[in-house]
Amino acid sequence: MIEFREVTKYYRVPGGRKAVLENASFTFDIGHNYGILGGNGAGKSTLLRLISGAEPPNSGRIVRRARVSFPLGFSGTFHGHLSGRQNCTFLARVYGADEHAVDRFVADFSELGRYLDMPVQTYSSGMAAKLAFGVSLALDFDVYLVDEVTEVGDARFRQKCAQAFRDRARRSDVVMVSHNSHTIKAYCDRGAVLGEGRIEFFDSVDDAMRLHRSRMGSLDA
Amino acid sequence: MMDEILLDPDVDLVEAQRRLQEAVDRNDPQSAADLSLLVATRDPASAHAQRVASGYLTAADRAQDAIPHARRALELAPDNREYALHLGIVLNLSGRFDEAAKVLMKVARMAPVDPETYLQLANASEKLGYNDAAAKFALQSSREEPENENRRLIVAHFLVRLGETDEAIRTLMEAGAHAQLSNGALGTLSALLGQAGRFEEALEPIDKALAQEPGRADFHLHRSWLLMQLGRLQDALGAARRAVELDPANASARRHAVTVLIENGEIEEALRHGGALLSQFPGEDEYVSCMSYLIDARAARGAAESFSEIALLKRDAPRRELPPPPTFVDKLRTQRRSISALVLREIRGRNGESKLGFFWTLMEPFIHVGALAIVFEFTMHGRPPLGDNFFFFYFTGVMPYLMVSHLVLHLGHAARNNKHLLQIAQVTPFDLMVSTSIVEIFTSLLIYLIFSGLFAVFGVDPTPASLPLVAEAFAIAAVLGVGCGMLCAALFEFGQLGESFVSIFIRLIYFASGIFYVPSAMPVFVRDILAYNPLLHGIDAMRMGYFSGYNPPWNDIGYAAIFAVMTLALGMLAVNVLSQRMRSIK
Repeated sequence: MIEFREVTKYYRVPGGRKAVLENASFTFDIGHNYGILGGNGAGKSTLLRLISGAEPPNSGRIVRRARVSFPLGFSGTFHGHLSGRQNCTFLARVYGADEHAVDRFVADFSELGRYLDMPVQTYSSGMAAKLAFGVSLALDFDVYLVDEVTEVGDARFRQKCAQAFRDRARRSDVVMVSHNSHTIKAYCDRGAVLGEGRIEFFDSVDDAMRLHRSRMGSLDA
Repeated sequence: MMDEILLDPDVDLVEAQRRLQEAVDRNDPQSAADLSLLVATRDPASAHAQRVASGYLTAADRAQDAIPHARRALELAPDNREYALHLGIVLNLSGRFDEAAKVLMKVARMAPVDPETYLQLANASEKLGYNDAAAKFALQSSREEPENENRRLIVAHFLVRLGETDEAIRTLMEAGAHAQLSNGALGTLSALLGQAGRFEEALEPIDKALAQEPGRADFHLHRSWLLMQLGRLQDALGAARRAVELDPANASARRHAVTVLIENGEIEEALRHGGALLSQFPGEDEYVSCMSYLIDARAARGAAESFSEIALLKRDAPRRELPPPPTFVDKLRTQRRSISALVLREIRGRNGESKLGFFWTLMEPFIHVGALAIVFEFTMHGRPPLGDNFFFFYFTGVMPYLMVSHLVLHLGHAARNNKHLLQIAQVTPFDLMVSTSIVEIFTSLLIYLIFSGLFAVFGVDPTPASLPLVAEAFAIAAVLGVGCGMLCAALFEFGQLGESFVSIFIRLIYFASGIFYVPSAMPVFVRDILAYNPLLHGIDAMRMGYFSGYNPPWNDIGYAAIFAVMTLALGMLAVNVLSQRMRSIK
């Protein structure tokens, strides 16, 4: 469960500030996958960073009763000079997970083979994303934060990622932001629409999509 | 034949009228216009002839030429309402709205009931920029003849143009109350209701129209659009399919079908339509981007296919308990974990840059001490200020300085260089400071030990006279370095200027810290100024620890210790206050 209490967050833009949330209170309940829709610049990524704790709100409080992941597929935490394996070990330590178990899972899942022992700076962005995806699954979070469903690898690898989420649907939740309604529909059972400093929650993804569509204009599929 | 009669000055009026009738029967508007003009010139006193000429000229798209005749007709018969209205229409057509409005206002006063006059007035007012008046006239026009659907449609279109969609809808609905609306009018009414966002109401007229004329692709398309807006995706899909089936060449129907198909998850069928659109209009941007979206959607779907029952899975999952909120001890444990992970990462990362990583760390003090020793060995021709080995003397001064300056610079940049690490909520800027400090201090200790070993090998006794004093001096330098480093981390958050200042200041301190001299060698007034530098006391204390018998009376190790601790406290405070700012990505 992640609870926002009277949270205000804005970011600066040339010539003023843009509100992501204005005095908003809401809760992500345990046992549901949330898909958050919103247009460009609505602050979807900022909202994810608020949830993860990477960015503080300007006012208000965010209470997390869950182990929340860093935004999924985010490979920025990797140290370029360290090998993929060493980077995984670092994250395992930070999150207090069993280093060896994480190592085994990542080696099996990421399909990086001997590249796992090469410095991350030699990786292509696709390989780094595979590694990031593998390690965040290995760390077994309660809530996974997914930004736009990063295009990781080929169709087969994406299938594997979806399967992994399916397998852990009973013990882990997902909060996903996207402007693409059908990925949300595929991954989530509840929806929300972010925009104009407010967020509206819906018990079904379809209802959220309806509001999003009416805001975006109907031809924007 | 035509030209002949037009050029003949003596042509008979009756003959001209006969020819005119022929041209009209032939349906030849240009000849009719020319001949009516001839008749009008021959018969200038006949209002009727003038009116006829103006009418045929207007019909031949020569409204400009018609104006003088329309005017003349009205002058000859000033009470003729029809002539006046005609002049108004002709003026409107030639773009002389100002004059048209004047004439038409007169017409409106002449006789009461005439919808056409109001419509013409509405037209002139709109062109003159009086939108309110235009709307009023348009409504008046439709009220004068409530059962005339055609006029209502014109009025409705006119009102839409003025932005009065609601008025337009009302006009058409009133017409519907008087008589059964035609299919065209029903379609327009539904379109207007859709435009106004009244989707539910809009369905009724379009359903009626389709009941009478089920083969209209554009009606099915519109109905599908309405249904989609209402969220009835399945029904919308049916209507869209019907529209495309009825009119396969209709690109907007196909484009809409793609949208509805995507919403229904029928990517394969959408791809078929997208492909048809592209082959019909190759290179059209809209269809290219539509197609590329579809291809992406198809790929994403491949991954999500088996996942679409997620809602069911989530519903059937057993209720999970909330984990207990973290206690203070948990938080401490988290912090200890992240600091130790950071330390290991830092050590590996720093030395992983090249196989010679740690060798370079050793080389810096080595070169530094070596250069000082060699230069002064030659210039001073003899003994160093303390002890009997130049290398050892400079070693005792350079090491604390290097530790402080490394701490200041590395801590100063720790938050900025590791923004991405701060995206992990468990890692705080303070953790970064602590882990960097630990690595720096341990590296310094290691270098101390290695150098001591080297000195012993080369026959210089590295054992300090007082180990506790050396440890104390080392600790003061370390605390001072960490404190200043944290203050710099805070300062560097505010831009480049602070960085430039610090890098200059740190070089100046080099000369003011007694590294290559002992403070006693300085004139008293200089030494009194230098005594404000805590590092000077620290380095001097280091030498007191190494060289027995060196005990300068002015040294104040207490001052250095208090200064260092105060700096550390201030630095920790600054880092914690700015912690959130350090996290945010600008």
